[in-house]
Amino acid sequence: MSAFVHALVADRADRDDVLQDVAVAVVEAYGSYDPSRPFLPWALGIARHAAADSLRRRRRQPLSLAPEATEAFASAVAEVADAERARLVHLNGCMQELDGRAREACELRYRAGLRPARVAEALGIQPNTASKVLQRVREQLRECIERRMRAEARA
Amino acid sequence: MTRSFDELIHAVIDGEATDAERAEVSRQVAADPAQARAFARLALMYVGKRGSTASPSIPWSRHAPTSPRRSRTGSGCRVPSARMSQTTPVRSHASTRPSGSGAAPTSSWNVPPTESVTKGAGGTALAAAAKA
Repeated sequence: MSAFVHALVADRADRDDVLQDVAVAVVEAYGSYDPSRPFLPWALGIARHAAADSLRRRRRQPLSLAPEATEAFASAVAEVADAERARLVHLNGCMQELDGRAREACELRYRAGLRPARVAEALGIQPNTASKVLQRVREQLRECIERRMRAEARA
Repeated sequence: MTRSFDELIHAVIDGEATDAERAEVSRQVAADPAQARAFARLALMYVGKRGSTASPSIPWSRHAPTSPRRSRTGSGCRVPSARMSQTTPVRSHASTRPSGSGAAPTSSWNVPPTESVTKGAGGTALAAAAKA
């Protein structure tokens, strides 16, 4: 849920406030939840409206995606969440496999949460170079996770 | 410079996309379920990994019994589901928190990252970044 909200709220300073509002909205709406239906799609449906309302009320920039895309994103999150949970199990190990500048860039970007420009600054490299390093990191992580998933399936 | 769709997704998630880039991602996500899934995967993997600076105090997990919650022990393992409805902050010990994370105690499922921060070549830059 937090990933869903964070992906849709551009200004990171607003993300936690919006997430808080979404949490309240989901809890308040819980009486209308039908337990025979999957929880996540229902909650995400509440969340996308609550997040948009929250930003509007705070007079902030609207959600990063247009309404139709937000709906498609919510459906996709509900669809892939379980599989991604399994993939996330391997993420830490794969991050440990990175070495040198790739690992440092990854730590700065995804653990410290620095934006690419700040990663470049911290590493003393050009922003374009940092973007390429991060792109390569993502590819390496994806390949590593796929490899581990395949190995796990064989075991 | 033209960005790949993967880069565009990251730019949107990072809040760094231009209006035109957001519109392009919106168009593709709305039109193509495969692109919507790609967006969802990256959001779950990278946004979820990053965590939040101030997690909500409302116990989401009470209403989402199948959702994961990472422990704060630094091992990255999951805690038993029986603990997921816990509403009081998980005990935090300085010895189990990474020195550079700035992690604060939280009762939410969305706990800040707990893994150790790499030292060595990147230690200085990361430490400086963490203070910023």
